[in-house]
Amino acid sequence: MKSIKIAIFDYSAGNLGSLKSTFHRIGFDDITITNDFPTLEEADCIILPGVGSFGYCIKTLNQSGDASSFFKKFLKREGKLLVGICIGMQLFADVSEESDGYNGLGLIPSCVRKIKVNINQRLPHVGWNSIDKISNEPKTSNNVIDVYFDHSYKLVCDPDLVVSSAFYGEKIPAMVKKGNVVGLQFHPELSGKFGSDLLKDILLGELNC
Amino acid sequence: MLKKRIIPVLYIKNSILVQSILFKTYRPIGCPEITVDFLIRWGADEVIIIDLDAAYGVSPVNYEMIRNIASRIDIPLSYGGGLQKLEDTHAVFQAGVDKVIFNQALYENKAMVHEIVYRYGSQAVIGSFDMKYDKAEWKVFNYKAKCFLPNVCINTLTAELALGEVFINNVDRDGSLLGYDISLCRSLNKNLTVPMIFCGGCSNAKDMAILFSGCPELSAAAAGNFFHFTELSVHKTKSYLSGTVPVRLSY
Repeated sequence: MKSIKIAIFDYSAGNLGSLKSTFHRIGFDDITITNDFPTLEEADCIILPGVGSFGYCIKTLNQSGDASSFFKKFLKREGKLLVGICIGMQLFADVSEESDGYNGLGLIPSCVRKIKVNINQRLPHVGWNSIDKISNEPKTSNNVIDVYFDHSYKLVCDPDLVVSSAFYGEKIPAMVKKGNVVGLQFHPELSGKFGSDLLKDILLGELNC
Repeated sequence: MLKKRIIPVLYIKNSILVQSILFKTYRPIGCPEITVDFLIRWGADEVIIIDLDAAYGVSPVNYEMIRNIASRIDIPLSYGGGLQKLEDTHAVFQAGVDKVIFNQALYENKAMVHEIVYRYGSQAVIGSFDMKYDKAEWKVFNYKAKCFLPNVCINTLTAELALGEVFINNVDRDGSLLGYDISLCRSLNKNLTVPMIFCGGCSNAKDMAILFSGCPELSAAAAGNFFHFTELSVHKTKSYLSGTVPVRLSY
């Protein structure tokens, strides 16, 4: 398997232990957990992990420098990939309702707002929910597959960027992709074998979507 | 469609998985790591670990055990027990836990709970309440201080601390195999605005079916002992439920 240098951004929150062990399990061993931009820059793939509040995460990202400019520059380079999980994906937006006064990274034209649920539904949207088919590739082909969600906010963006959706009160983007930026609203690292396989395919660039 | 969650609870004493009866008597069952492997293969939707020694202050948080369990798990892991300090709570997240469960800290260290919610988000924080029946009403019981907390309102506390989920334990039915107390579940769930996990008394799949039909808005049913004593327990439970309750069947 192709050797890939992975850097997980450390905002001193985030389920870093859980994510790191998932990468080891699916065969990626070159993993750095850091908030240092020069170190992040050397990675082939940067992961923005998935536990944290919007305001806190953005504040921490910007402590190391202008995060938005850093990521925009990083993504212009050949062969680079940025993957955001849950809150990590929401950080790609321009703004979020969750934390007033903080701008997002502005990597995907979008905003983040609270999910509109029905009267008998509650937030957070937590548990296993089905998502649409992600790819026609046999390896990750899924007709109806359940993945693990845990969030109260959703990304609102151009539907053309949405690869797969879930439904809870309203349609929720489960996976978005814009060039070499991939966002997953659910937690692939907590979604059993399907989630791990999907993560592997994304990192190896073997996902046709 | 969002599925109802079936959650095994592992009570730990001295790094060993134990059977708990009325929160008083504990019998050793086995190694938690091996049990977790089975539970995942059998289709558990999440796993909850409660370290009773850490909860009662008998020993510090056992990070090594948490790391061992977390490293072999590809579903969500929640941990409760002895989380009184910010450093300890950060450390269990670092060890691989996805959600933390607070019990004592909800009353004794609200500042820490606020800080954890601010950093990690509400969705990573579960409030745990132990319920006991006393003088014709259900009350929250504080196990460490061995007293009732008659003034605690679960809904108010949940909103005040912005908890993401509530984990209810019916202590009176713990290990009793008498089935869930549906009326308790309904009355607590009715007023809550966040998802609830309900535990205490389950003896078989039918008990869970009765629970979900009696309380259709319940987010998750949890059980301890029952899942550890039956081969393929979670899988069989889900097969039984699948006709009437939406559950995750592909794993």
